[in-house]
Order: sequence, then C-alpha cells, then structure tokens
Amino acid sequence: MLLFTGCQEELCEELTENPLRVGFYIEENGENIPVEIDSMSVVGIGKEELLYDDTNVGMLELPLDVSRDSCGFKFYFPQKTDTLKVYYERNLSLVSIECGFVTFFEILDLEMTNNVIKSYSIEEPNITNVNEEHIFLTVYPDFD
Amino acid sequence: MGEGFAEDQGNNDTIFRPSARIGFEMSYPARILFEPETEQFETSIDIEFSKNWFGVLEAGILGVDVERDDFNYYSDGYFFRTGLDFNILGRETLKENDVVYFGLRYGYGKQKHGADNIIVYDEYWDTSYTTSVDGSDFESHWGEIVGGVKTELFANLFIGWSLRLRLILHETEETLMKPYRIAGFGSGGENTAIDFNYSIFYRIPF
Repeated sequence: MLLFTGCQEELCEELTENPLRVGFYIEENGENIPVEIDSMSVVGIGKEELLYDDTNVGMLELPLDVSRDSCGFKFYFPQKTDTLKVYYERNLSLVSIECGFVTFFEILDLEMTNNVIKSYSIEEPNITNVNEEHIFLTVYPDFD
Repeated sequence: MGEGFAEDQGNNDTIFRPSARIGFEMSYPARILFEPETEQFETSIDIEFSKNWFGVLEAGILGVDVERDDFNYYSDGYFFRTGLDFNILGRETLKENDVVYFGLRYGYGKQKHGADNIIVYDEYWDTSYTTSVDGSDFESHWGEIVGGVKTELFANLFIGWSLRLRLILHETEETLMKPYRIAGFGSGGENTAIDFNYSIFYRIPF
C-alpha cells in the first residue's frame, strides 16, 4: 500500500509538472548551438526567494504564476542582468482523479531587455506536462 | 404444442419458441463497496427472434461524486447498448434454455460532468484561488464484443455472466477534462475497456 502510494505520488508529480522551460543558445553560422551559462541566478520579479542561485545552467525551469496572466523573472548573468516578462493564457486541466487539476498555459507574448539576451523564439507556446523546451533565448557571443 | 408460440421443426431437431428475457446487472451495486464514488445501474432485455439469435438492448445510468481536499468532481449520465447475440449451444428440446453466446454491440453514452471548489495553489509565487469548471456534455460511441453464459436456475429464472471488450469509435473532443468514468463504457481517457458483468434474468415465454 505504501509502495502504491509512493508510486502514485511520483506519477502525480510527473503529470502535474508545468514549468516554462527556457533554453540558452548562441548563434553560429545561422544555427542555434546550446550553451551553458556559468554562475547564473534567477528570481521572480516581486519575490525574494531565488529560483537559481549562482548555478551553471543550459536550461531554466521557471514556474509561471497560476493566479495571474503574466509574470516576470530577473536573470543575473555573471556581468549583466536581463528581465523576461511572460504573457500567457491559463487553462485548468483534470489530469486524473488521483492527481487532481493542473494549470496548463499558452504563451501569448514575451517582453525582455537585451543586455545579454540577443533575441528569442517561442518554439512551443503550449506549456503542459510534456517535457520540452518552450522558449529559445539566443545570447550575444560575449555573454560571459 | 399449444397456441401462443411459434414452432419450427422443419428438420425435427430444431425447436424454436420466441421469448423475451429481462435482466438486472448485479455486479455494479456490489462495486459500490469498492468504488463508493461511482454508482452505475443497468437493465437489459433480450428477445430470441429466430432460433439461437437474440436481439439485445441494455440501458443504464451512471453517477459519479468525487470529493477531494482541493476539488469536487461530479458526473451524471445514461447509456444504452444494442446488438445481437448468437447461442452456440444449440437446442434439442423446448426445455433447454441455457445459452452460451457471443455477440456484438453498439454503445452510446451521454453525461454531464464538471468540477467545483477547485483550489489552485502556487508554491513559489505563494498565490492561490478557488474556481470551478462548469458542467459540460460528453458523448461517446463505442463497439463491443461480448461472450457469456445464461443458465436457468429455476423455471424461467436465469443467472449469467459476460466478458466484454470495448473500443471507442468516437467521443466528444475534450482535452482539458476527460470524464473519470464514461457511462456504460468504463474508465475515461482510455480507448479500450474490458468489463465483466454478472446478472440475473427472468424469461417471459410468449
């Protein structure tokens, strides 16, 4: 019974995960090459608790605010900072009776500063429990 | 042979007497013990319109009421299935009423389902709100293969069981909230279902 409950909890965690996944890339010969940012910190705008604290990352998993239609994040790169604001639509989905409801999102628009981030592309606007990158952020070659 | 029923003794080994049998599904009330959130009731009628061939109509209702800490889910609906059974046991005399059969069904279910008192909470942003999903109609159509037996316990009183394999043919497009249970079919969100029925029947000879 305990084993069953444990498995169920793991399954529910997997099925109700809904972060915005943001990948970092650098443009080389017209192609996007994945890149890792050293010592990066991220915080939700209006929050004090860091989502990433001085971490080496190639992809960020960012929680969108389920009670509003937009939210923002501040990216602390080694030398400079950028902000990203995400506008989205929210859709409640019943994953299962065991796991309950989860909020899925559809990205409508993005706003950002361009100190380190050169450009963006929305690769997958629908944020569900499918594990995939939603936004590609291309950084300037001298980002670090 | 008296009046009021038909006979077919063309080959001296075929005896046919039209009859109707009404049935009550007995396993669903028992399942409430294990699944108290789901209630389903079902009755049936089968008519032997030609020797060893039965026309069948099954119909019932479904009710679901799930209460959790962070949401309540409800669903109410009805269903019917109709099709044909063929008795592979054959019959030598008028007294042999037991049947072993295989059959096909078309099934249709319609239900309204919704949810309320949904508490949505976000740990990082430390925000929450309560909302609901208005009740909406959900329809489903499926095909079914059935096999089973019906055994006469006493005069005209039968018990029987059947095993059923179901395949969804078409259903309402619903991406955000699929039904927990589809009336007359089984678990929602699945294209196939296996079911076992246990029933009692009363036969009305014509």
